[in-house]
Amino acid sequence: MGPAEREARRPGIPEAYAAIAILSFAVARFLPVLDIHYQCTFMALTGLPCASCGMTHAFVSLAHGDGAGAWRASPLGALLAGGAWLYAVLDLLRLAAGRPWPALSVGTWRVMAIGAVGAAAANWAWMLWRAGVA
Amino acid sequence: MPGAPWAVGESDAPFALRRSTGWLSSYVATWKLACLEPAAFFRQVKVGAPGSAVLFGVMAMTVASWFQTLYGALMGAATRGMVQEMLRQVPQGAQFQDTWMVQWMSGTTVVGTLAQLFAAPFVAAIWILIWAGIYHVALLVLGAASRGFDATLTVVGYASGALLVGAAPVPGLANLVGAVWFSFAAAIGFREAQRTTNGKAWTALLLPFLAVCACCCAVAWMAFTGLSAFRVHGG
Repeated sequence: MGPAEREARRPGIPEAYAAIAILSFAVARFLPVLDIHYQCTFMALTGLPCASCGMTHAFVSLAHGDGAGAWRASPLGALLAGGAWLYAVLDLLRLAAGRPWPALSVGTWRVMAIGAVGAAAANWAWMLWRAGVA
Repeated sequence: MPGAPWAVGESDAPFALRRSTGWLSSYVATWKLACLEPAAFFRQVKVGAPGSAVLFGVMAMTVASWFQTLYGALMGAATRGMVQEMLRQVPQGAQFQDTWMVQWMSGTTVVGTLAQLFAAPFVAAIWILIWAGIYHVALLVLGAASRGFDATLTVVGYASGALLVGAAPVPGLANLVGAVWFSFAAAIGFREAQRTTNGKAWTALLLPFLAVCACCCAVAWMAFTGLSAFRVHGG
């Protein structure tokens, strides 16, 4: 095993994020998180959903195999949950294979970050539209 | 000064050398640099291996959380005595003595306290990693992330040392002071570590909160225009 492969097999920060993703799946799948009746402060004040409303339902639905329910609860939540869990699986496979993550340029990361912010804004606009604001 | 760790070029933080210099002394030295001289520290600290920074922040937040839990338990015990005294004076209140209800009203149970103590380092690690991700997205959007995610994570980790202030026996206020201190250390850290401007660093730090405020304003505006339309049509 060469030094590059040894380095790629050593758990680091990417694996910490993968662990968070796996933890989120375990919590959504096995803990009764929807039984905790938490009122969103934004919703309580305005009667409208906040940008992250429906995320918990989306994670729980997807963890139970209900993709349509997850999408109905929050499209961004469904994508976030699916993406996070897919990332965790890919990272474990990468670690087992001893291969590094592909190196992306700062420009590519920037495009992805702008896309993520745009997706969050679009998701919230859709949630508001669905709630009958527009 | 010859031999000084921050004399020239990029250097490891003292905490990164903890195995050779000792955990406590390296922690104290790093805390002083990150919290009292953040500009010089974050300008010169190596950003290639952020594990030490995350561990540093986790330790600060864990200690603060443990103290806060302890204060909460002590205050809960005091509240519990008050609740029990009230129940003694209420007709048939004695039947509730030493029940789960009293524990719930006093805000503490042994299991809950132990769970908080156990979970503190994990919650701290998740907090640092998630917020580093959010701040990095903001830095990327602003075009202020030239040195990559490792630099952002290093800043958030070491700046989280300021949250150690939360261990002070002033519940609420200590956390507020720690949060403000963290904000200043992190903003200066982003500016220095990412080699960006003061404006972009502060904007990246405040962007998540500004976005929430902007969203609130947008909703308020939509609600206002909706109400105006309702008045025009209705009246």
